[in-house]
Amino acid sequence: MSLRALRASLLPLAFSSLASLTLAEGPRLQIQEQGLGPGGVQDLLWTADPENPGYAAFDVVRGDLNALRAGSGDFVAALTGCLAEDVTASPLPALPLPAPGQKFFFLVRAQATADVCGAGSWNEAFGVAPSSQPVDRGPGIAAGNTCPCP
Amino acid sequence: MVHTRTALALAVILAALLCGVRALLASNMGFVVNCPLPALGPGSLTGSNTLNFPYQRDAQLVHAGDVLTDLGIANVSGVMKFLEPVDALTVYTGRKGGGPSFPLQSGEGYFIRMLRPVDYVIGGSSDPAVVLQLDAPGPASRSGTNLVALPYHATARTASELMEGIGFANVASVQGFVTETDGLRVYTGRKGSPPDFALDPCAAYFIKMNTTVNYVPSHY
Repeated sequence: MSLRALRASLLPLAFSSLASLTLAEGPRLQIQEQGLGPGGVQDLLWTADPENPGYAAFDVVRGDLNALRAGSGDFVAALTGCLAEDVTASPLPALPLPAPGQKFFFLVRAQATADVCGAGSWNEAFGVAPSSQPVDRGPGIAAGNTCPCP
Repeated sequence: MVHTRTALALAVILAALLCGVRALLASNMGFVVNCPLPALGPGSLTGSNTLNFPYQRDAQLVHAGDVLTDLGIANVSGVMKFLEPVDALTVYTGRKGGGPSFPLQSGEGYFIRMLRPVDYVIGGSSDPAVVLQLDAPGPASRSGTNLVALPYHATARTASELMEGIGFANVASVQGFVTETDGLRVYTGRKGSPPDFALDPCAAYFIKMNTTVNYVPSHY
């Protein structure tokens, strides 16, 4: 096999492995205020990776950040609810606002196909070296999630 | 054979590089927090507080002036940025003669002085690509003191855990601002150190370095 032919056969493999990994990492999430000012309402938006047209549906969960930190990353104890299940598009407007001292976290997961439970990942960089996320979010969220699909 | 190995290595490196870039850019966790900012009164000596913004802030929060707008300018007397090379604060008041505004930077903490108390609701998301450059004494830092904003979901919950995460020998102390007294709570982890203290995601912390470290905080 010539070098050129070998390159041609290997590069698509490299890109297909890239595509599968980015799908597992999940979409990018943003929180946007509806205009600056005291007591501003916050919207949750996310951007699916355009390189992954396979994204078909998204799940969003909410949790208590103070409980997550106190529990050393225990997502079962920290999770407080499911905000969206199998929604097809961003955004989720007017998020619930925390009381003074309260802190909410939000996680979004992409699923390659709607209603295929567990097809996407709640993780960001778990298992992708070098990783700054030492705890796998998946098992805790699966155990504590109130969405029909864990 | 050599060509085959070279091509294979190139393909693997390319794939690894591209995967690495994607992993660093993506973040699927966001936050909405409510940080009480007391004004002068029983809970605060002068209305001074430290403030920590998420690494991916609201797109409208770009400069110090935007913080004043977000909080309501009548509620705030100024936003302050710590200047490491001179160990001093620069102040933006938004009033006549109040100095130039400055850009907000991910990973940088700020002081804010309140005229009226505000329960500040802040939204944003994480950015695992942010690397905190913690400078030891030298051209970039007069005393090795850095005013740092940690990710809201950092695994470090106390000053001692933060020191361990950075590397104990590299850090001289972690210092937290005490609103009630305008003093600093200091933890060194060495003999005679004051007690360890909890870290609040709403607050920024001074980290005094012995050695310069590029620190990527571990997070949940």
